[in-house]
Amino acid sequence: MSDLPVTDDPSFKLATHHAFGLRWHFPFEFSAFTSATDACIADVMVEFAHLPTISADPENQGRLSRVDANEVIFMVEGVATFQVCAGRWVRLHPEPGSDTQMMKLILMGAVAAFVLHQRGLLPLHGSGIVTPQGARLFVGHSGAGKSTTLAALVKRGYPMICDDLASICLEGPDEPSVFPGVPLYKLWADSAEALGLATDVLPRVREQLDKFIVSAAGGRQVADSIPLHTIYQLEVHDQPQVSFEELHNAAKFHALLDHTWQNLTLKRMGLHKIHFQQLVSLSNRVRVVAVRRPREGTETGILQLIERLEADFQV
Amino acid sequence: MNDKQNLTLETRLVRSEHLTGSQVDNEWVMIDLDSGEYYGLNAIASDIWQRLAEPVLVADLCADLKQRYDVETERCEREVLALLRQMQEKHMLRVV
Repeated sequence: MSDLPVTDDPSFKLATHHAFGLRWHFPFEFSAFTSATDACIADVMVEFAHLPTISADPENQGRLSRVDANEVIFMVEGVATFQVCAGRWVRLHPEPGSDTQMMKLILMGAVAAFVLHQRGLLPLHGSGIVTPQGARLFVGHSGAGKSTTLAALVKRGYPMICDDLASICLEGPDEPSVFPGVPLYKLWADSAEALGLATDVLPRVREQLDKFIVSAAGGRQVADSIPLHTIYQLEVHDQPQVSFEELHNAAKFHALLDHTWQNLTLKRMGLHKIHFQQLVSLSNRVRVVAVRRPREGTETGILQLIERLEADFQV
Repeated sequence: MNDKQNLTLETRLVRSEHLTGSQVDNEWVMIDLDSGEYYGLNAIASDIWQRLAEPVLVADLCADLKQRYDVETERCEREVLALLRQMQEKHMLRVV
């Protein structure tokens, strides 16, 4: 049982939520994140603050405005400016009248990924489930089918670990392992339809966007980190069949590099050497399989992919 | 150091210090810590890279490789020089 913190130090706050292997303190309701049930000090403190206005600078990569070894500041137009410091503080400056939901989605995505980087965890762009042999992740670029594959497997009863952002720990006795993320996933309308999910009652990611938020909170939950067994790299190809190819050597390393969150910013964060070592460690401990699927995302196509995956789960 | 210096059999080379690497399966993956660029070396190239940890004369390097891989001299020298020139272009080597 944890002792209640005895301190007047205002920089310590109690955790309100858990995700990605960390305890978070949010100054607002955040139903998507799993609530903290024990009284513990937060690892990451989120607060509202006044942050300098960032002007879009074409010289900077995308919207990042300040990046160094200690902090990252970035702005998302029409939503908020975010500051992430030392893996411990997240400051938010929402734009007046902006969409709180978008801000929360960014907190669960890019902000959380920066926090993980700053704390020595490895954030991969992937969704994951649990099988008897361990966690299996699906990494891939936008549109590759990570969330659709996740949704199809969750429908078949596999517990979900994460969607879009996988928090990987490379230290400790069960290395490497994946921490549970936030129990929700995002699906485009056509994927939802192919999976038989009604979208009329689902919240949209953003107005006028046909992408929906699906809660997995009712399904089988994962409480602790799970040893990582296999990473599947999903890609689309112009063949009619699904193909599986186990990756080795530099190609394996590069697949993991390719799907690391914010990989183009690692050097500016001063993390490129540590990250290199993390990827080598991961490459030498986990199986990576390149899965290529036909471009058309039909119901039959999804079923074919799931059948091939389940056959691979027996390996 | 003249980057455009012609690399020959009589050149003595050593690898630059700002690159770090590790084995993944049969290949050697590397990162240039100054530029942030990544490289992958196949088995033979990584063998050469290991030998460049200490200063070595290109001619001696070729002689070792010729024996080890049972390749004829002319081909060995041609391919090794081509690889070393590529590495030199990427600032991976120092002439000593």
